[in-house]
Amino acid sequence: MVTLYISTIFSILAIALALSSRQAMHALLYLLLGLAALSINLANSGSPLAGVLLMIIYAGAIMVLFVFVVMLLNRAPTSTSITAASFVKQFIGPLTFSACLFSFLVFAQIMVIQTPSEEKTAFTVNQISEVLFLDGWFFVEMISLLLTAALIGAFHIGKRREQ
Amino acid sequence: MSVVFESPLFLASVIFVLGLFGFMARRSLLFLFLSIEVMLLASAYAFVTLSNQLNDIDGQLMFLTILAVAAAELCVGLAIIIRFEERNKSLNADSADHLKG
Repeated sequence: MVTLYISTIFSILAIALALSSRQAMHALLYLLLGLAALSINLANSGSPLAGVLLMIIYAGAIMVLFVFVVMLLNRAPTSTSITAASFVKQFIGPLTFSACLFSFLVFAQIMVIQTPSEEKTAFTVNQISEVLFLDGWFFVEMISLLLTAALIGAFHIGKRREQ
Repeated sequence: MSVVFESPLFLASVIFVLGLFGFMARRSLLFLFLSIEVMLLASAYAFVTLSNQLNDIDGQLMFLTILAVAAAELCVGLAIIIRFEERNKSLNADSADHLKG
């Protein structure tokens, strides 16, 4: 229960920091930390598959897409000189936050080892995939069509036109 | 009192409101999309945790759908952002108020 509370507080804090930070890259890093805390929360409250998918798809694919676009736009100020003061100023927030998250992860593992989990897993991966691929195959096909349409749309819009 | 904080809907609503606030307060297009993602994330979280509580597997399927929809929407949206930045030389959403072209 303590793990649930702490991960709740962490995710709220990280998302608030993400949406109020000035630089886009910092916002993305804070949002990654928030997603990590949220997936701990999900895995702890009985849906480990959702937590893992949150990390893989949200943090692994969607956030990376954001990072690519930020790099493409390249709107960061082009100051190459990094002084010690600016380094500390830039990195103190994410550093403390990720250090806190890391110590929380270690703490959560110790808690799990000490108290064997009485949390029930509501649905196993087996059940979910059975429903998904036997009863809901049309649903999966629709999602794949949607993703293909998005891919073609993004390609068409992003294509550089001769003006 | 603590029942409210232990409910997963509390966390979902807090995250959703954070995203809504970000959507209204920020003017950069990139942050608008980030806020939309956060709002989608909150609804996905609510679906998963409620499907666990109510013992109904459809919530898990909705979670997968929301992930796919978020990815598709973001894919097109980011392409639009890149085109927009090329044309307007800024990411300010307020400079997109005339629809010509």
